[in-house]
Amino acid sequence: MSQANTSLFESIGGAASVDAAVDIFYRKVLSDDRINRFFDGVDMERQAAKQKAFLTMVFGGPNHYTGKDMRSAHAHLVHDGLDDSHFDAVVENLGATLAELGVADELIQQVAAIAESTRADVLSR
Amino acid sequence: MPGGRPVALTFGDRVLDCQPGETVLEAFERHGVALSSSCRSGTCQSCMLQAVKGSVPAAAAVGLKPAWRELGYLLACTCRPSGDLVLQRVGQGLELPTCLLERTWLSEEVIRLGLEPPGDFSFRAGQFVNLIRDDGLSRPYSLAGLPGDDSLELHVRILPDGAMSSWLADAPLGTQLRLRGPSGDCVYACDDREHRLLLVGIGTGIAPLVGVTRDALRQDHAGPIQIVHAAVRGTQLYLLEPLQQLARQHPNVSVFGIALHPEGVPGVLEGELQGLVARLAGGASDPRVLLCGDAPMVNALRRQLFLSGVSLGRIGADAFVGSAQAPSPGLRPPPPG
Ligand SMILES: Cc1cc2nc3c(=O)[nH]c(=O)nc-3n(C[C@H](O)[C@H](O)[C@H](O)COP(=O)(O)OP(=O)(O)OC[C@H]3O[C@@H](n4cnc5c(N)ncnc54)[C@H](O)[C@@H]3O)c2cc1C
Ligand code: HEM
Repeated sequence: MSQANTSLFESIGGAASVDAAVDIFYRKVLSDDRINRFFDGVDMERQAAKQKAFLTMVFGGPNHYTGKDMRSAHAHLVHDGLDDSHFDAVVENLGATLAELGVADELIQQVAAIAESTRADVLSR
Repeated sequence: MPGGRPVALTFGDRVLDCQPGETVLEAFERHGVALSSSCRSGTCQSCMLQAVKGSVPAAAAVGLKPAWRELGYLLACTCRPSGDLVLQRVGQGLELPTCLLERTWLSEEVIRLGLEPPGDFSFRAGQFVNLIRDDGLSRPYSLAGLPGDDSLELHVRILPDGAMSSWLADAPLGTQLRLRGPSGDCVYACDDREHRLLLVGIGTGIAPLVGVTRDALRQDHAGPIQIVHAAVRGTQLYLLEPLQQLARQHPNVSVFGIALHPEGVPGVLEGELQGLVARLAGGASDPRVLLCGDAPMVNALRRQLFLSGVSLGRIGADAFVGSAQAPSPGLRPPPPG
């Protein structure tokens, strides 16, 4: 997992931007037929909290995550067929969310890079 | 935080000191009490706790939905308490003794139960409790009344082979029971005073919403209150008449009865609930929505509303998990949350 990148987090708008992004991002994910099956049967309320953890992390926010590590959090999804194409779709939705919020391209690239750094773990490689 | 004295945090059977300037999370860690956490900056909500006594600093509730603030939820990582707090994990109330006081039939299949309010029990209208029989059988039921009522009111739909519900239909008055709770966040928040409330009760899901409506009216709710009472058959709308009467007394209250098969019951709309809710939610002002009852329908409505643009923070939901599911052997564990 990447180092906390406080200046990126602050440039994006800090905690307030996480609050703004979570609904938009989650709505995109649930409407995306490439990936929404992975979220079936997960309680929406709890999942929204996990989306917050996800966004805080990839926005380079303070990260002292004590929940499940990325590998075990996604292991059962890999078992159900999670692969690179799904990972790419999540990163795409993330980028679209930030663009919608008016975040500069350059910062979106940095966020994508942080997400990218978790690919091997998320996909159990 | 400058100066100050240490305060006491009561958590289960432990009392922990919290030093001036220290957060609740730091105090827990210093005392070796396990609490999940992540961002440590009030964002991710991993470390959420509930204060059942004491006042929560505003900074510790930033970003929480109004109903959660109302219930004393706080983020341990940003909470620097200025006074003593009694804390618990969210939704984990105490187990208290109670007793079955009264039972009346509200329809062919729904009973109204009155339970003795345990001495130290407090709740918010719209919450639910886990009712526990002396052999340990336990099921969640919503509270239909207000704190201060003479008894705790539950509406239970009797399932012919339902372990708890069919037993409750015949259990002698005076039977001792236990309850754990309250839990749930389908409550009225005073931030909502000016807003439109859209309350959707499917089957006995209308029970907690009657409590919420009374609570809102008692607090002089100024915005419109739209109540939807839904069921498969018109004859199952067991509260339609009293609700219609309420609507006649309060100009800001309107009531919609809807059934797939109205079966000739007057004033009942025929059709799909999803269509009606979409139409009401899409109205002039952004509503706060509470959804209670049959789990698949509640989850479908929540998803539908969220995807159509209602923020998750403005939707509260109690899915009555277990009330319409396939048979499972033995006792089911209580549902999460
Ligand atoms: C948060 C929450 C709040 C709840 N509030 C209420 C409430 O206010 N009032 C209320 O009545 N219930 C409420 N429930 C549901 C309640 O907890 C029980 O699940 C319900 O009473 C059935 O329990 P039982 O022991 O009688 O049936 P079980 O012994 O658990 O089930 C018996 C049999 O009935 C079948 N069955 C279950 N539901 C149906 C159905 N709808 N139609 C036909 N067959 C069915 C099952 O498949 C099973 O075979 C709530 C649930 C939750 C999670
Ligand atoms: C881009 C990199 C990703 C990161 C940083 C990330 C981060 C996280 C985090 C922090 C959690 C919470 C773990 C916990 O329970 O403690 C989580 C859970 C989850 N993630 Fe991801 N995730 C990523 C990619 C994906 C992808 C590609 C998918 C599927 C398309 C996905 C689907 C899920 C699901 C369904 C859960 C919930 C699992 C459960 O509760 O059962 N994630 N993720």
